[in-house]
Amino acid sequence: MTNVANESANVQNQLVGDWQAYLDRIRESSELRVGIAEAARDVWTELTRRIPGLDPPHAAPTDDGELIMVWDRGHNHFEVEITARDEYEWFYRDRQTDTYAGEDGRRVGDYSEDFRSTLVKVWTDLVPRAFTLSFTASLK
Amino acid sequence: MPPLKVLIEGQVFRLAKLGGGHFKQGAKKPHPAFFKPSSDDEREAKEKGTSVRLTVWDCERTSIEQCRAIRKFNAAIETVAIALLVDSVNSIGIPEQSHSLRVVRDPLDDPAVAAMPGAKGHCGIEGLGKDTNLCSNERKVVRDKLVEKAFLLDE
Repeated sequence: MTNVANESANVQNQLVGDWQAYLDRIRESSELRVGIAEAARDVWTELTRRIPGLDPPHAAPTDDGELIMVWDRGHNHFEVEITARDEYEWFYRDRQTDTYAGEDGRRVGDYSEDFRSTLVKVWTDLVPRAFTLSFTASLK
Repeated sequence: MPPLKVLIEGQVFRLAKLGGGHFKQGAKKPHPAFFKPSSDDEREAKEKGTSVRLTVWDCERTSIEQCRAIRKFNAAIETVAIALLVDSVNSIGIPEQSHSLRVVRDPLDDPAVAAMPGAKGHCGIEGLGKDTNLCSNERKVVRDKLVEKAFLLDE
């Protein structure tokens, strides 16, 4: 069990390392507007403060040089869009019930209670990956 | 202006560059950024007096290879084709706002490009832009529904 937990922690560390490297790389990229990567890092720091062990997002730039970070888990879809060096939008959709929530024009560093509670709800609704790995291993 | 032709059936596709983040190797679905119209799309629509259109290609009229040639994607640029069934696109919308997406033919303006093989398949998905009566969250809902309907086209 300990080995599985260690393996899970290693995978998580690798993912986070890759994500940090991606943020470093896109900081100098012409694909993004100036300051977007730094803002993404700020938002990421806040998210992981709230949810330790959060998986890094699937991130991609838009054609206009913004960055959209996505977390898809089960029927939960959560995205944060960095629209300017100091501004972001967030959006959540439950694909099963087709209910949604979100806010635009938020200042980076200013995280509303709705933003925090929605993300925490999304994450705690689902079985953490570390547990899934442990559980799967225990079945073998 | 020629009459607008709306597609009611068939299949359309759009190219995603691998490594650009819009489609991850091994993934089943594209990233939402893949379906976000750009400010160029918004500006072009304003200039032409049309709705904002996100480029897609009619599978009946354009092959993936022809599309790559038109887009000037050479072998060094690895791309995959992401497809959508036209009727599934038409089924997406926000009923409370009497809003739905549609696929229309969108003839290319540049005569040289328009003469290329496969160019007649150029179409656009309308209903994703800021010119709709949707609020930002509703536009994202529509975009996410497109992601759900999209699938990787076998070559």
